[in-house]
Amino acid sequence: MRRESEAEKRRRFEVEALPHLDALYNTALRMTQNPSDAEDLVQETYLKAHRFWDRYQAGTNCKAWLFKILTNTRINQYVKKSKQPTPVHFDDVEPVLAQRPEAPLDQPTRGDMSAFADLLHDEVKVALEAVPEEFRTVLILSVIEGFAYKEIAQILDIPIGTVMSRLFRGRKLLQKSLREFARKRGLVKD
Amino acid sequence: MSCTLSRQRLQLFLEGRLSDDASREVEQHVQSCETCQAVEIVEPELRDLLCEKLGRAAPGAALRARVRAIAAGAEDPPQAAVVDIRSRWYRRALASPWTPRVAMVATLLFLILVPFHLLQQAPALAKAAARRHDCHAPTFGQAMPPCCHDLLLAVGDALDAPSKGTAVPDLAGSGLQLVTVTRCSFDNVVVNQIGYRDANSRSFSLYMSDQVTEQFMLLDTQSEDGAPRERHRLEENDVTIWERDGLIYFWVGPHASSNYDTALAMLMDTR
Repeated sequence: MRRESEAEKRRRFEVEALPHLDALYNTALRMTQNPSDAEDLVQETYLKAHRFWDRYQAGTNCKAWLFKILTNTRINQYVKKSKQPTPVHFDDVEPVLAQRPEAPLDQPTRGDMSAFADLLHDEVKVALEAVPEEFRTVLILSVIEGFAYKEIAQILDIPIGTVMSRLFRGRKLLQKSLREFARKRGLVKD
Repeated sequence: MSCTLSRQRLQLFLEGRLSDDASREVEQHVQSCETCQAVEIVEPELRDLLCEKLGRAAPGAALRARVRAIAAGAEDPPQAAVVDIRSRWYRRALASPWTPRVAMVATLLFLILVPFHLLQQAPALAKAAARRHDCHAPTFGQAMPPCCHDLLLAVGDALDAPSKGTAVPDLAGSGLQLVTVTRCSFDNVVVNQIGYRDANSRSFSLYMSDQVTEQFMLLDTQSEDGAPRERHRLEENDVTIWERDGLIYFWVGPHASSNYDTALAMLMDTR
């Protein structure tokens, strides 16, 4: 098999890795909640991607590979700064889960959805930011970036079932937060 | 594919209301069930609302320029701690997908042919570590075998389970450069595997795990400086095993190498 030249590698990096810059930045911003930290995180991600580019298998999912580096880098930043995200235990989430158990997989009702639609952009943003990062990351990867559960499992190196349960709990916490905003605005009744 | 898991049970799993054993069963089922993996946890209306309200933030021109500069540096990439072995004659041999299989067969032959008394002196833990090293060292820096998950980490980066709370050690001071960091499930024992090479391209492996603590405790270990440890020679390699903070460490490398001892002293000092 012919060995790829450095120029070809560079071209392949530009063609395959660079188009995901916007998606990486968008996710980094949702993770860090700070544009400067997000830029640092994305830059670090591309530096590592460049360093490890030989290990990326052409034709596989480059976006998922880059997101894996992004999330690993984010976790390492936490550890280095001794600023671990507060681990969220099921007991903390349980009171939220106990609400409204009637619908299949407990999804928001039509009333909720119409109230949420009237919320301001900033209110939705703050509601998402209120979700602990462990769950928020899975929400972002699934909802905003459209990754399948299997891909998220590979990115975060966790079982698919864990992805689904984090997504479920993240969605419940987000719903609670959105409902509180809607209640304050008088869009839903107590 | 037919799914045998009821929606109610899946719901209980998602809510964290199943016992540990039952959760494990559902987790295993979900791992291979396409039907369960297609269950929508966030309904489309909520997805649409979030996408519409949150929008997409665009990176600034400065970041775009920096990333383009990183890409443009591809002809002279930052080497960091990765050893450049591209110009060496054996690179093609290492790059071959057959190498792990050949290494595996060679190791098995070695274990069959080597005089039994040589292995008898070492405990199972040391033999397993030497076997793991022999099977993996030829592939360091290349595509890893299926038992390995490439963690893409550099020196100083934090490791997760099964040695959570540790970091990738910097052994440059002992003449060893980092080559690879993987999570390896070889022989069904999960370890964090860190591979190094010296200037003569000899391979060294550090394994860290919380999975074999009990086996280690059963050994009649010698205590030096208050740290229980064992050292064995297995043919060409030395294997040192020690315990610290509930984790078992394995250091494997060529016998009679000064780098081995210097690095070992650094690892023992690492807190």
